[in-house]
Amino acid sequence: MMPAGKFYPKAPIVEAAFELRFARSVDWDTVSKIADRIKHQYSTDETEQEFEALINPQGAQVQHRSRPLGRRLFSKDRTEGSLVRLSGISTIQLAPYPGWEVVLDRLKRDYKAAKKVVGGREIAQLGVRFINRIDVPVFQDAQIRIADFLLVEPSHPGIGVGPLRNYTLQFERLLDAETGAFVRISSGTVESPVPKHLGLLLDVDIICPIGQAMPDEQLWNLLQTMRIYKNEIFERCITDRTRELIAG
Amino acid sequence: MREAITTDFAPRISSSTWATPLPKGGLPSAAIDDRLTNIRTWTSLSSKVDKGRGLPEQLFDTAADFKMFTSKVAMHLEPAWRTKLFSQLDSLLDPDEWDPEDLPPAALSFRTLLRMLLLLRPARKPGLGADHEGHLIAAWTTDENRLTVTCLQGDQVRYVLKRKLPDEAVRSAGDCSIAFLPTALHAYEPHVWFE
Repeated sequence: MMPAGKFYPKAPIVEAAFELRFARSVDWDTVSKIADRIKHQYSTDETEQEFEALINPQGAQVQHRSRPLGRRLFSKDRTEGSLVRLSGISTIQLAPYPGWEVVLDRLKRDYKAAKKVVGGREIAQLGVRFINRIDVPVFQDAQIRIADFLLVEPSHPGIGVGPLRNYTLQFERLLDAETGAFVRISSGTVESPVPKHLGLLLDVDIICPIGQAMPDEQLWNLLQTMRIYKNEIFERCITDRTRELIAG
Repeated sequence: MREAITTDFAPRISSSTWATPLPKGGLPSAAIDDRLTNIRTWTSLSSKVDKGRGLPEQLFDTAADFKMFTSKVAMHLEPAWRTKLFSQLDSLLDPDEWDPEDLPPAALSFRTLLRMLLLLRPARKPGLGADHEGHLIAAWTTDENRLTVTCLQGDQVRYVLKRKLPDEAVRSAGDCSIAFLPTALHAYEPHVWFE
C-alpha cells in the first residue's frame, strides 16, 4: 500500500485531471463507441468541435470547416467528468476533491471500457495534473509576502518600485532520467472568488512518457508513484502558513 | 521511476517579493488567463457547450453553471451546506415550476450571492428565490423580522428589511456593495436573522 498524502480539510485543489494518451490517435467512430459505453455514468454528453475558417484573399468568400475532437461527459453538477478524445481519455474532478482513489477508480472504469473497443493499445504517456488555488486573506490594502505561502516565486534584479503587482511563471524539471518523467509547475497570482482574498495558483502537472502497450497493473502502479511525486512536490512548494490556511 | 524525489531544485526565495490584491475584474487576471492558457484549457474543459437551447435546457445549464462556480469555492463551504444549496438551486430552477416569462437567473447574480454568503458567513442559511429580471434573492425570516437581499451583478445588493424592535417596528431598504452590507445591517442587530 502506497502512503497517502497529508489530509487537508480545506484542500486547495480546484481541479484534478488524469490523462491517458494513446500513441496513435483513434478515429471518431472509436471515440463514439468508447463514449457510448460510459455515458450512462454522467448527465451531460457534449461533442467537442474544432472550427477552422479559410479566407480566400482573392475574394470575400470564407469557408468554414469543423471536425469533432471528442466527447465530453459530465455529472449534473459538472464536478466530475470524462473526456474521450481522438488522442486518449481523461478523467476530470473539480472541487471538492473526493480523494485519489475515487478519481483513479473512475479512470480505471473508463479505461476498461476503452479497452473493450481499442484493445491493449500502445500508450504514449500518462499525466496527472493538480491545479491548486491558495486563497490568502488580505485586509484593506495590506500586502502579502509570497514566500510566506509559496516557495515557488519569481525573483528579479530590483526592477520597479513598490510591491509586485502580479506574476506568472512556469518551469519544467526532470523527475526521473530513466523513464523521462517530468513535472511542469506553473504559478501565479489570480483573482480569488472569495471576497478579501488573493489567489495564489500552484499547478503541478506530472507527465510520464510510456511509448508501449502496458499491462493495467503496471499502469496503476506507475500512477501511484506519480501520486507520491505529486504529494511531495506540493509539500515542498507550500509553507506552514499555507498548511494553516488549508488545515481548516 | 523511483519512489522518492531526488531532484535538487532549491527554490530561490527573494525576501523583497510582495504582492497586493488584484483589482476586481481587472486586467492583471485577464492577462494571466491568457498567459496560463494550458491551465485555463483544463479549467474550461468542464464549461458547457452553448447550443442555443430551450427553457428546460437553459435552466439545466444555469444550475450547472452555478454549481461549477460553487466548486471554485467548495473548500470554503461546509459539505452539508453545499448539498443544501444544490438542492435549493435544483428546486428553484425546476422547469415545471419556472415561469417561462421570467429570465433564468444570471451567473453574475449567483456570483454576488455566493460571495456575500462567504463574507457574512451566516450560521442560518437563507431561503432562495429569483425575481423576473434574472436576479437571485436571499431571504431570512425570524418571527416578524424579515430580511430580503436581491443580488445584482458586480457584488452589488439591494436589501429590504423589517425589524421588530422593543419600541417600534422598523422598515429599511438600500443599495450597497456586499462589503458594506454588514455595516448597513449593523443597527438592526442582524444576528436575529443570521444566528
